[in-house]
Amino acid sequence: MHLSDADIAHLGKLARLDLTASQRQLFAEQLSAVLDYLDQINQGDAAHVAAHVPRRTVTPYDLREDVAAVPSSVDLAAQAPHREGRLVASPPTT
Amino acid sequence: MDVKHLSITELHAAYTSRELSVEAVTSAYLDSITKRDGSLQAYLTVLGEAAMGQADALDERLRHGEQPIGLFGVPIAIKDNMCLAGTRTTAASKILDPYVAPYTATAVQKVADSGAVILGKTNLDEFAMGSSTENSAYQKTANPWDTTRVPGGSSGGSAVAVASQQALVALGSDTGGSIRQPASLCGVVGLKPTYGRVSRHGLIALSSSLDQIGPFARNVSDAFSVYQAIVGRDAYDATTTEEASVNRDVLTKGLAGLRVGFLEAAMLAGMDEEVKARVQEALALMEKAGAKIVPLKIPSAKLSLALYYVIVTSEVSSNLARYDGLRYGVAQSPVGSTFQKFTTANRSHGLGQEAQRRSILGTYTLSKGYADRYYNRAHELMDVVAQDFAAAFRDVDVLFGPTAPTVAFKLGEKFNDPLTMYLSDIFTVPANIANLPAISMPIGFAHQLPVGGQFMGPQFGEGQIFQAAAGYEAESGFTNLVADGLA
Repeated sequence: MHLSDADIAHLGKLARLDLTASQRQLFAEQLSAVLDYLDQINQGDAAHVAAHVPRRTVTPYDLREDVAAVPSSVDLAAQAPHREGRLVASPPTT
Repeated sequence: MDVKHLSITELHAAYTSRELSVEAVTSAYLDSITKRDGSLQAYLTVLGEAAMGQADALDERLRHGEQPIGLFGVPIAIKDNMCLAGTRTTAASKILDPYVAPYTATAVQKVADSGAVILGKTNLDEFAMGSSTENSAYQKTANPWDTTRVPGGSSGGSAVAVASQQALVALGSDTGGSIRQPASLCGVVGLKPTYGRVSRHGLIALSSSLDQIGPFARNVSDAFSVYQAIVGRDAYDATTTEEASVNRDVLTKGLAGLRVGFLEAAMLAGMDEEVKARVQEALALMEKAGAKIVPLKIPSAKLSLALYYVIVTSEVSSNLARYDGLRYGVAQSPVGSTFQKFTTANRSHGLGQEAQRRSILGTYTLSKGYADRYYNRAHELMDVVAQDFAAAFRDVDVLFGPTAPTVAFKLGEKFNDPLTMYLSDIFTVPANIANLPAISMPIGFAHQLPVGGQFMGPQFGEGQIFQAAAGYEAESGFTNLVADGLA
């Protein structure tokens, strides 16, 4: 699997990462090699085997009652780097 | 008497007889940190004052006649991806540099409730991504056996703290070997429990379906004590279970009659010959002590590393999406920016190279065109690997093999080659993929550096691996190894 510069730039945009040209080149090389390794899960015997038993999953029985707990919303908002009063400040979406 | 040589049992005896106070022991460990950590760099935060306060309160309880049990008066180090209320918690990432946890992780609360004295928070690869602790945004931790070498990772700080007597025991987290591989490279005991044994509440997530907290110690008995303190159902982690706990008497059952499976494929071509020799010697010793060695093949196990990196990078891209500088962490100025530009700038400045690399790869493996080929396929195959291991455990009680293909490598040696770095986890990831408990312990030395061996057990079979590890430890004498890292 070969990832191009354009592929990496697009993935960077989706992952909200600003990549420099040298980072894009490095990641294209490294991740193409890693994907070649990962592709063994679609090759040879691995391509034909299938699981018989589904994995244990979390059911509603496993969940606790949904109640508010400490820390308070004031404590949590205090973590925000930019605030206005008790509110978290964010730039506009457009 | 150097109090740092005492095990938990010996410490408790000394507390009971009033020979030692918790304050004296805590103070000895804090002195050790002052003396050694300048060169080893195991700790990101040392909580000296808080630790002495805790010690004082515990001594007061002793004066009121309390019998020390559990982790009473045990100096412990905590990997810095576990939250401790009121304490800086960074996961070794710049993006969390100013973050002070507003609550405490369940596992950390449990060791504190059991009487452990928290000495500080230890270094790791950023967000636990790595096998050498070199991905920390803050410092490079050195291996105390040879300070030009890595301690392994990602829980390198915790492993070094224990190996160099800067803590008696420690907590780490293991997603693909992050407890066992550094334990192996530093000559200590490290356990990854079965997923579901220990609550992940308050553990900063790397890969939520694989992460598990576990102990580091200098001997199997101390590792067992920490394990006992942290297990159990937690309402704040719906994946924890009510499985029955393990009785301490497994530690004295010995190796006689134990069926030990040995995966022949675990002796890779290209593996260090000296490490191979130590594994063969360990098997011979177990056989002499009455264990039955059973050669086994689990062909699907070789897929584990590829499956692991598909699952982990996919979950990383999702879990790390929350670090946007909006609600916490480091942020650029929002003035004149838009939401997209602001969050992108924060992430690009705050996340390190490996975090960015894995986020990119995970975005790819989860994308619409490739999710079936990678993420969904990996889940199917994980179940196949788990079934194959479960079938193997019908014929054996435990599996034994090397923990890592080599001894500790040089700092910088694999740093720029991610695939080679990933291969250092080749023997540890199957236990995460098949969801098995596994323990690494010292089995000797190669090139004057410690070598680790790994016992894996069936799901919730911690009893068997503790029995095997304690049995082997008693036969071999490889226990309580110490490297102080002082030239």
